[in-house]
Amino acid sequence: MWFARSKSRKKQPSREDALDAKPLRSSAAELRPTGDGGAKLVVQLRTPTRFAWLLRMPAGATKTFELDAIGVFVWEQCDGKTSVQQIIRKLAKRYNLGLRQAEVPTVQFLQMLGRKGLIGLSKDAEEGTTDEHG
Amino acid sequence: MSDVHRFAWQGWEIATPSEWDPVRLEGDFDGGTVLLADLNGPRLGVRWRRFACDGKSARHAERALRDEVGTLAAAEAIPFTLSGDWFSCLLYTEPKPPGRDVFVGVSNASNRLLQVACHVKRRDDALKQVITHVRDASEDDEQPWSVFDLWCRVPRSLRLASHKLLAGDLSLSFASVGKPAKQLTIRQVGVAGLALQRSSIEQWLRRQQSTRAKHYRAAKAQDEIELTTTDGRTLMGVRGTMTRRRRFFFMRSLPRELLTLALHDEARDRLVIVQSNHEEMARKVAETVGVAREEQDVVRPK
Repeated sequence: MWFARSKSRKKQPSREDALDAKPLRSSAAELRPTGDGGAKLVVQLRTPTRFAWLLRMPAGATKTFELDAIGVFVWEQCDGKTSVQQIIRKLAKRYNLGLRQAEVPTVQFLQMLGRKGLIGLSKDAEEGTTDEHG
Repeated sequence: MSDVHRFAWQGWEIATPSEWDPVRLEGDFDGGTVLLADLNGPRLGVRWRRFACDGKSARHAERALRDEVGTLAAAEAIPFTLSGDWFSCLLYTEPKPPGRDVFVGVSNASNRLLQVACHVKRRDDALKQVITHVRDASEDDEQPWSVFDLWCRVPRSLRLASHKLLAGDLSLSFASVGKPAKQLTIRQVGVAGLALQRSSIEQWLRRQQSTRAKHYRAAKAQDEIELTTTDGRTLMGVRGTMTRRRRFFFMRSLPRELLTLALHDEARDRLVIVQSNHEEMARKVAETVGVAREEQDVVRPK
């Protein structure tokens, strides 16, 4: 019956797939380094198309995310060529951490960036195509 | 195994590939389990339990192996000889991987049965390399503890009371069984360079002290200290004391004074925080933090 038809569920990616995915940063975000090794990530806010008359956004409104040195390192690795696993290994090597210790914050950070629409995850990504992912 | 590191927990010490990290740590000295995994999934399971000294260790070992791999497979296990105080050792090797290789042995030092299962995807000697370096250090005066990149040696009289292993913030708390009660908390924060950018070392000390603020009042004065580790590194930092609040005078189980050391290990880029009611012990333990890393190079399976 049509009304009882369940929605087609998207197949959840396996752990291997998730680690092999290559995050790609949004071209709309701008990284402004601060003096202490960190940086500010500035994103232009867009007026929603549906309720533009109600939710008016001032022109040039931005949202800023503050990143520390580790955050900047991970952000710079999100080039669409480096897989999540490679990022974890690079981070572990750079800061002399265990793989598991590097994995947990990296994955959480990437998930947060994904939720905010700042990165897209794909198997074969190319730079500058994440706007539609977000 | 290309790069090897030590994993030491509840008196056990094994050498594992550096990519294997613990994902589950349960139990206490008498019995428990540890699961080590790499990025792709579980690789090694360790289980131990203490049994009554009844002279039936071989039977205990056989039963443990039978429970793990089944009766038919257990019959194929071969006796295995380990250096040290080990007996009734059995090794089962999976004939057609993928599967698991299992080692079972009894340590005479602590009368505990150790069971190690290695998940093998193809025929390799990973388990043999791990168990060749297995050691029961529970009889040593100072027990080694090595988890992630926190390595230290703690007096044998102390038992692990709790642990909190967060990414970049590892903490082990110990308490002695007998009287006078000794308490010890070792915390390691990494990366120190970043941690000290956000807060000064004095603030880290205050923050650690605030975890006991309900029962203790921190002294305002903080002294600068300098420690030299057993391998010659210099740790610089501050020392603060706390006194039990007067309204808790009746709580004799709480030590009257607590000492907190916050130290910057520049060579390892880690922040080491030690809290204890016994100053000499706190200093001694602080001097051993991170030392096992240098020792690990000695253990390198062929």
